[in-house]
Amino acid sequence: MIRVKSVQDFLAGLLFVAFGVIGAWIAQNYPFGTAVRMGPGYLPVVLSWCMIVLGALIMGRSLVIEGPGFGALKLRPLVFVLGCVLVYALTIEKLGLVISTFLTTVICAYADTEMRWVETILLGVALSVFCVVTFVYGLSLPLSIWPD
Amino acid sequence: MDIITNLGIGLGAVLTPENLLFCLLGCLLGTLIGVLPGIGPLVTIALLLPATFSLPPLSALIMLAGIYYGAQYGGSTTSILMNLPGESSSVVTCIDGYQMARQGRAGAALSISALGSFFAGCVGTVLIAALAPVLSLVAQKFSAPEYTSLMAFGLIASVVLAHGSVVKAVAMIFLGLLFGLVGTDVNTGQQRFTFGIPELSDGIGFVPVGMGLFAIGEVIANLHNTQQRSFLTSKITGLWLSRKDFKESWKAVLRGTGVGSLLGILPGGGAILGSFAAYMVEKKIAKDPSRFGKGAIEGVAGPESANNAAAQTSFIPLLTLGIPANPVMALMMGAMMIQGIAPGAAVMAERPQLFWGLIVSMWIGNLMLVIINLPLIGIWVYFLRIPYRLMFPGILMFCCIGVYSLNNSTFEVLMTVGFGLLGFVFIRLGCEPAPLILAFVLGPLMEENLRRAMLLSRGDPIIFVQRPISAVILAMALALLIVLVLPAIRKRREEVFVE
Repeated sequence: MIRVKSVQDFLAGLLFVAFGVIGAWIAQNYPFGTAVRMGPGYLPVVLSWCMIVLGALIMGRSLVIEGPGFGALKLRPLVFVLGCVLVYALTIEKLGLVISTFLTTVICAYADTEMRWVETILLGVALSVFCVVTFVYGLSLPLSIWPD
Repeated sequence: MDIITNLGIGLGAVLTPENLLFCLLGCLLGTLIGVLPGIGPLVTIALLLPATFSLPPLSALIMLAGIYYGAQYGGSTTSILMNLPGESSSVVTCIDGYQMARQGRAGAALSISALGSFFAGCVGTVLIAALAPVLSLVAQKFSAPEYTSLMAFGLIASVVLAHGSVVKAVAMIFLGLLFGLVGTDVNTGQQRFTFGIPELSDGIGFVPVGMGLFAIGEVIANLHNTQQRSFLTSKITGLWLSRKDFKESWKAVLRGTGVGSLLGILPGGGAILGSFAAYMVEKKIAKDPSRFGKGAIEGVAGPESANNAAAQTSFIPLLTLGIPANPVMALMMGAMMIQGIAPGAAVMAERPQLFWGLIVSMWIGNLMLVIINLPLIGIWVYFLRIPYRLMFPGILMFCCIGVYSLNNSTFEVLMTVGFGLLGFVFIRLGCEPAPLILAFVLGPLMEENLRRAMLLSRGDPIIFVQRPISAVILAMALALLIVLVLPAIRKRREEVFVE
């Protein structure tokens, strides 16, 4: 039975192989060309294969050499940090800068176990005001402040 | 003297109230973000990029450049006082700087780092002024094969910077190059990896990639490490250097400046590489290497001078060859192009006021930074008392607004979410994102030059060794690669990172 001695390396290798396989598979539809006249598919295919080889090498090494694992995964920071950026993307045009900034800040603060409600709401208000003053009035970026 | 006339032109262009104000603003912002961990020059410049659209080109570049070298000054403050690098280029300063602070010599450490940086900044500026015209002449001899080799060299050099495994860093380069190729192929108009999404036909934006990988990935990783940061800062007493301090450190400043200037010029180099190399040099030539790690002043003076020298000289490849040496320079290149300036040798000839103005502004900026950093140090330390739970929502907010306002595109914000996730995964898998981002920037340039070179040589790769300049660059790249893979050096490199 083969044992993975470094989960970190194994997963890293797997990631590179996966990117390589996807890249090579998509790029096979592009004209490859020749060494003299490289087609749009030439470099993507070559690069993808290089990545597959290196990824396999890293995976192989992870079976031989001891190394660190992936570590405990906490969903809270991951979900709320990525979630708040997603919410910003979805709300900035429809709800305007003030509401969007406030929402994003509150969701984002929730990523930390230490968050406190009063403090977070104050921070949200402060950041909204700061963004409006700096970016709309100060730097005159074309952002709508309130919902249309 | 040509150089004096040129610097005169620059001085004339900079000494207007607005330009001095933007220089000061850039330096202040740079110091602030240098002091604050978790937000670097890359994110800040990206954020301010849209704001510079409406400024005159010179003012915009002066401010953005100030942020970059200002961050080198600010970064040392936290390293010395809290053992917490505010900037990745001041990681090595922690080793001896923090020890000095614990021995009650924080003032001396801060002074030598500011004065060393100032000296290095002045030398760096003079070097740009002296070398840029020469290098622009060399650049005229450059064609596709030379550019390709130079970029290959830069990418290999960036592996030196990466922590941990060399293989992983090389794989990151290939991935970065591949990401760089997304979009419409310039030669044939073929859509590559666009999945029918119109926003992708211009390629993946640099800002979403940078913000995602560096800012957002980092924030998630930081929130995973719940360990409390200590806010017990050491007391700063007496900023004056003793005669002994001065005697011990002036040579280190000179050496650091030399090492940093040299490494800054190379593509793929820059402030981080400079500071690491300078520390290794100091430790190597010291009579008593065991003092290092226990508060040796050379261990602060060398790297601090080096990172600032490198920050200045890394403008050289951009201003003469049009090749960004590191991700921050890639953003500067973006800023120049937005202003309608094509970076490269032509800038100096066609827009002397802009070119020399930028260089002179760097010198003025360095002067401002000594004042901002030494007498006002207490103010910056105060900022460190802001707890992380209040800081990270701010960082994320600025990322969001920065990415969105660049093109008013929600698609780019969505891309940032994706790259943020990827950035976190990379950190967890021990893959350093720095080589990826440089490769991403150089990808399209490199493909274009490679194709042109192969067309020139009728498909024979021997052209890269037949042309002397290209051959020399490739030989250097090969030597670097061998050095990296050699077990002895690898061990030493790991030692430095472990420290």
